[in-house]
Amino acid sequence: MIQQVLAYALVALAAGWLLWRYAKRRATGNCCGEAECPAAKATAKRIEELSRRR
Amino acid sequence: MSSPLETPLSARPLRVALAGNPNSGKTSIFNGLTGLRHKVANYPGVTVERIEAEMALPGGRALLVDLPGCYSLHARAEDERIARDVLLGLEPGVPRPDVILAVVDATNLERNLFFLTQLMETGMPVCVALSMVDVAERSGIPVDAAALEEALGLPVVPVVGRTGRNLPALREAIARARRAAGRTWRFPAAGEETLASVREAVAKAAIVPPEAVEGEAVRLFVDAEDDDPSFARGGTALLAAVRDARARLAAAGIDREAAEAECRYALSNDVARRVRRVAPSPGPSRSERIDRVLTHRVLGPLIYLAIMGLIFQAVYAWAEPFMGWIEAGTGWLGGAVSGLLGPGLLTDLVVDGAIAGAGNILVFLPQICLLFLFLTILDDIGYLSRAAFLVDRVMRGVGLHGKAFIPLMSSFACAIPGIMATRTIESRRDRMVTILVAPLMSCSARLPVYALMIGAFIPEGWQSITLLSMYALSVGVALLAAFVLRKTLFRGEVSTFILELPRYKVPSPRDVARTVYDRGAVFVKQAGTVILAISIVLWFLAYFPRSDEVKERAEARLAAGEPEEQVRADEAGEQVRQSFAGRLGRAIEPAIEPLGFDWRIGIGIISSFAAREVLVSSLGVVYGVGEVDETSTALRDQLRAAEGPGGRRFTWLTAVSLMVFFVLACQCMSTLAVVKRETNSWRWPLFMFGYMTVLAYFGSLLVYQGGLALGFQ
Repeated sequence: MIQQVLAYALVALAAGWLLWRYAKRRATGNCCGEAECPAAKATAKRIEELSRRR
Repeated sequence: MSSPLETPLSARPLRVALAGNPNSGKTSIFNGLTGLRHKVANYPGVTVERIEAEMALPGGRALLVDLPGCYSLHARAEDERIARDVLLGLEPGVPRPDVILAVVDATNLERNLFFLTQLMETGMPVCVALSMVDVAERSGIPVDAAALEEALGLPVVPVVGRTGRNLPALREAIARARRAAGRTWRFPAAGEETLASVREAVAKAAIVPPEAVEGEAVRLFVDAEDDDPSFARGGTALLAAVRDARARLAAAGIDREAAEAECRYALSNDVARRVRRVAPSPGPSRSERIDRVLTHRVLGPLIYLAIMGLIFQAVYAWAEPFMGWIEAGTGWLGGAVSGLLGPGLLTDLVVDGAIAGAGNILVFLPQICLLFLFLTILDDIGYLSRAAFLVDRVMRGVGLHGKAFIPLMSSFACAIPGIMATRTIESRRDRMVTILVAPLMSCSARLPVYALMIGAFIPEGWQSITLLSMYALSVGVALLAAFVLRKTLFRGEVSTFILELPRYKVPSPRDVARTVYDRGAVFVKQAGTVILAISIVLWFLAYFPRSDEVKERAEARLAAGEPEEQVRADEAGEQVRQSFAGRLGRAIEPAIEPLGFDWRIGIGIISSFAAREVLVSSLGVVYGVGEVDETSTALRDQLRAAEGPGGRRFTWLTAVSLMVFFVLACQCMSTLAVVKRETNSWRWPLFMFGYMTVLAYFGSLLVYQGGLALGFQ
């Protein structure tokens, strides 16, 4: 019985966390849920490093 | 001429701004001075990283702020604007630095001194770290640091950031930083006259400290846009004074930007000539000699392919023992949990859901780390820039802009930053084509899928070539798609692009280790969070509802004396078949059966929309729930033993078909969401999803049905 309760609780927790994460991503518009995408920033920086502008 | 630091170190933490050209060795010096204990945040409202860390100085501690690498304070891009605004105290919420630590690359002295002359005019104390001195010495162009110190009137310390050479001396020199003499070059007479009126207006507006008036006047006069923060602070009178001065100079027939560049370069060239111990060799440098081979029209691509082939071979060969350990570890953990908890629902969830799901993904951590180890080393050496040069010709041929190389290259890790990085491509047509083909590049989330299929079904000796083929397929189809898009939806000329080939250098073990650690940490975090949660939910969907009818049938067979092991295995399989997930998989089975996939792979394909690598954990869960042996979590073995559609066993043909499907399909909701945001329309993500799904389906169909027709199994 305890095993069953724990198992259902774990499933509910996992599903709830995924829903919360989805809502956070919707709100921020980034797949990591952060306000700014760190990977995109690093890539943009790399392009600038490779592009001679003057 | 100069004045010492006015703020005693003990009074408050000194703010030191680290400034320099891109590729000047700034990051290595930052890491060396701070010991990697940095904090990363963003400058408000922009996508430019703000990296700060404490460092020890003689007599106290200081805060080192790593500014974005830039060539000039005349800001063209967002990161240059940030660097400029921080140095001039114009960035909201960021205090003006007390000292500038200017990194000057000894191998590119003229260009680096150009930027230094601008830094010297900010009115702040400056200390110079002369970097890459070892490379300069080996290249036969050593720089006399003492002579440079004398020429500039600033402390100059020759350093090698990679090895930490002279960093203690650099710490001492920061404490001795001095204000430079100010502007030591002059415009032509008419320029100086008009500049005087701007200088007066800047002083009157009191937007900068008195010692920075000269430099700020030059900056505003030469290059500032109307929306420059100094104009906002100085009011209309300042803007009017600058406009009037510019008009007068233009009337005198002088191009102020060209004049400034010429004067600064004349000064930089003169200083460089005086401080180089020998004149630059008229012959080609070592980097140039290497480039003759590596960027050769024929040899270059061959060497590139050979290097990538060797890397993929090593990824398989070297990762195997580590993967075996992780497999054994997850197997042991499953067994231990089963023993500890005993049979029951919770045990099933932990073993078949959590461990089989997340554990089967973690198995591929060594391959991910090894792949990024090699790619980072190649990048650090400077080879990836050569690779960009090599493919630039091909990319131009299919209508891709040169700047698309980095977004496409970074899409090998993940398409999302690649797509977001296309913001740096000015032309909408160039940008749209890059966005639409970026998800075709084989991202690292696909690697576990390839690794699983290749490990399970492709014979040794063919494994690396198969993996290389998948990457080649992704690049080939991306180029083809770009060509077609350029000829149809996005016709027009391709913009020009200048690529800088940095000198070759010995990679920094610390920087390489940091990148590999970061990539591995992202992968482990993904496995321990998203994939774990999805695996648990998927376990629930693959476990419920339990069918009494299936159970009764099994009991009847047992009563009839059939072997228990077989009966229980059949029962477990049947229960998964009629579970929620099983029903979903069976619903799409008719559509995917021609590709060689059964309903279990169907479940994997559906769930992999959350993230591609979820296919592996999904198969782990589906096969785990369908297994009676709760300690066996080696998915590769389970796949080899499994039956596919029509009772056929999975073979290498199924594996190749599935890999081709994953190369070409757009199974990533995050990518579609980012494309929607970047294009501000659902039209393009839907178009992308549509064309990639069609490509994937027919590509996979061609492989599987073609293979069967040719007699392969």
